[in-house]
Amino acid sequence: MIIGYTTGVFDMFHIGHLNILRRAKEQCDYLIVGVSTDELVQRDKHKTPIIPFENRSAIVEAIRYVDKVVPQEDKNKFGAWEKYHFNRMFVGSDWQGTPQWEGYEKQFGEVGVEIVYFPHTDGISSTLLRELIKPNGGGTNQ
Amino acid sequence: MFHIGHLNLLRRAKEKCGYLIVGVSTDECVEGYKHHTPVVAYDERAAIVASIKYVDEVVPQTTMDKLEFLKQRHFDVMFHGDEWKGTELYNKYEKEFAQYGARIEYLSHTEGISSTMLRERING
Repeated sequence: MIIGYTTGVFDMFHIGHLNILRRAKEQCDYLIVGVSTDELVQRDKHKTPIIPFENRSAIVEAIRYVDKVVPQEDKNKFGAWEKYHFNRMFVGSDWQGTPQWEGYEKQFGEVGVEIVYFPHTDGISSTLLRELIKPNGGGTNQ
Repeated sequence: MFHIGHLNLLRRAKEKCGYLIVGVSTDECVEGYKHHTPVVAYDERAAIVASIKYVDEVVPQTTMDKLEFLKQRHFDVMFHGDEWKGTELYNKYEKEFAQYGARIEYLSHTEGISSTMLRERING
């Protein structure tokens, strides 16, 4: 059985989030999703999610592609592997080729974990949604 | 924008039925009564609802006339927000539904969340 792992903030759940989860599940049998805690987002991105952790987790957990949700309290991916022993980790392709993730590929390769990169969905992101929500912001139809 | 209030309604509806059909309003339908276009396009909204574990089927809701759907497709119970309970329109629906062997069950909304509140929080 292939255990998959992916992480995210999943603030203001949108079609981009759904696409990642669906595509991750296509490539594993059991999908664990690490949802970033409010504290981690504040430390790491210096902003507070619009939606609190509890609600963001509940929505991700209710998606049919997701088997288990765990809190992501830090950026230590190897620490997560030590806990959950996944075989495959799914990551946005914007990280591919970065020194950090080339390091991870080596480290995870040694324990038999494959890193799979997914492109993000064009035309949607939580940041963009925040803009679209503003008066005269438009919509995702455009 | 899909939020915890939506999720709670879907979960509670599924607790009370064996097969849950969800009508997602088309962009044209929303424009017709709210006089603004939804921020998120119909296809995306429908895909998200369809991906929720509690949902068995998604259909487009093209009209706000609830009886229209019942005429096309039988269901036993329609779940709706309780702000409409006791209103003239819904009292009328209850009578009309009964002729088709259907009833309405009212669910309370989740406090502290709504699409309008979310918009306000985002706009700061």
